Amino acid sequence: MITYILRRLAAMVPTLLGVSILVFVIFNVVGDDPVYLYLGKNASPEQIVSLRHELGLDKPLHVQYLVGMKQLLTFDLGFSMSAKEPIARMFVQGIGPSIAVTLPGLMLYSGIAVLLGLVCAYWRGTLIDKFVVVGATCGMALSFVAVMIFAQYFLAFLPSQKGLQSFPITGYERGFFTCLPYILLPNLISCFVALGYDTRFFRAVAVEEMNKEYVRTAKAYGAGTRVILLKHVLKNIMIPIISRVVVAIPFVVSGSFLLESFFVIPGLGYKLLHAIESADYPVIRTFTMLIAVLVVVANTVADILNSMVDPRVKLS
Amino acid sequence: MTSDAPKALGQSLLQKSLRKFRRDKFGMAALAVVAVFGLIALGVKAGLFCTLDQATTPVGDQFVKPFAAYERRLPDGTRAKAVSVFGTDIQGRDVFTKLVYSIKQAFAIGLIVSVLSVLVGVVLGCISGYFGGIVDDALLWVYTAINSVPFILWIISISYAFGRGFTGVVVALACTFWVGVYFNVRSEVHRLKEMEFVLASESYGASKWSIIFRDIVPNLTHLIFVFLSLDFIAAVKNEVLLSFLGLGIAGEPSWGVMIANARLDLLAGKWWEVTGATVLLFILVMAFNMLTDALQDAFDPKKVG
Repeated sequence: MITYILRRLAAMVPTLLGVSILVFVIFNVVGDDPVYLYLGKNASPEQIVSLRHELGLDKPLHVQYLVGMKQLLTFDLGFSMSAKEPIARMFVQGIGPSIAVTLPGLMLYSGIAVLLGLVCAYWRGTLIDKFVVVGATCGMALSFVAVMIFAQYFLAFLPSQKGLQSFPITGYERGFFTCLPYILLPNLISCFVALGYDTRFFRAVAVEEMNKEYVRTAKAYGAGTRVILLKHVLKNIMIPIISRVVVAIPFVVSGSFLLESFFVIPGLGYKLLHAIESADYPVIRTFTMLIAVLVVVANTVADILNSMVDPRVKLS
Repeated sequence: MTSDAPKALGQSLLQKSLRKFRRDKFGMAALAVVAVFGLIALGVKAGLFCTLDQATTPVGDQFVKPFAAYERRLPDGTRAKAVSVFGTDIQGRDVFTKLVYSIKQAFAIGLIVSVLSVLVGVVLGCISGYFGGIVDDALLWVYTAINSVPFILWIISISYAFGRGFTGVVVALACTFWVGVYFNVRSEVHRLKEMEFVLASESYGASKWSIIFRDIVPNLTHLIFVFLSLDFIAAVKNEVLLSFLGLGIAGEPSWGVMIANARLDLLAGKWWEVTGATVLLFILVMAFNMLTDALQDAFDPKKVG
């Protein structure tokens, strides 16, 4: 087990190396020279040369890459021009709101989707099943952006116009309890958008499981619906459920970008988009890299958890 | 032996798949919807109606309601009484014209991105799967690096680095979407290359490239169809997302630009622009999702009897 964990952790190194090279190529080779963004079009040649030297852009590319990696590894992340804050502090402060906006929704919709999937699989082909499948297909076609706009309009804006107590339209307050009213609507939205995809997926998984012989045997022994669903089928589909929740992490990240920028919640996505708007190049590069690290680490941890849950996952 | 067995014997896998697809009512309905959208896109592209010029010039006062009488500005400067189709936007441009023009935008982005990413994915997947070795290791490394980061981060970074606009959107989407095609093609090639018909070609002395293009690629048809459909609609949806984040198409209308710009109009009760774009997007995405399902059912060799 320990060797497996160590090997998984070691496998993160080449992946993160690849990510860092890609990020470097995108921003330092493809992207515009940040010097022009800082100095504008009317800079004198001397200014350009001195700023290039200051930012280290006059060095060869591989030296620039190594310098950037050294900064990243020693947590010397620099200072944000647009936010007037150290980048490391911006990042650390952004993690909390980002998790608050996405994690409860992820848990909620995963739970509901598993439940609906089991229900559909058991009563396959009945009216309930068809209703859920049609609903899920429609839900999958909804655009995240549109759901956000209309949910805010109908659930937060219109009630407040009429003087009713409802969700806050935008905004955020730090603190475990004070942030609750602000994160409620964003979480409901991400739950609503993702529900269609997950219900369809878990339905397919559960249908496959219901066709297995042990279910037929249990039925033949006269086991009740609830026992078959909750005691046998649910236990056996735990692995796809865990993997699916892990696969959802990127979806959660993209949802947090949209939700944070729309509801003005100071999470990672909001800060990154703000940096893009003000062309704050060091922030964009550092945030991209750090979010990538977080996701790779989360994936690895989930893989290790999976191997602990399922004795069949081969450790070699 | 059933009576239709001889008929089935004379059919290729493709013929069987097509017949199965034609019997799929939902799939055919979805295909019809996509075809109608496609024809409209072609018409706009050919300049028959709803040109860029018409979509960007004001035709009347701002925020004329849908189906309301208003004074329409004609090209020669005079005004005439008319009934609006789907209202006008904040600058007095015709919302219906913008919506129809955006169909062309969606198809341009969807087609270019899906064809590019499938092409790159299939070629690299074949090379990686068939030749193996160091090329495979290198490509797999790139795949792992791209795939282990949320696509939205790559898409945002690349379109930022390329500069806002159509090219940036297309490059960003194609650069990320190919990895899904690549990995699936690679595993399928791994499976196919051990099969008898490939081994037979090898023993006849066929060249490696001839084996890839004559024996392996035709057996990837189902993957190619499904990924074209999947990536098309993913591209259209991501354009909306990028436009919303301020990194999308600039200077021309598209559903994403319309939804992003008109979201403040909604708060003032001007619902038609954002609703129109949302509904059209919904219909197209729904049709493509159903089409993808039908293609998967009809063309997957494991499911065709």
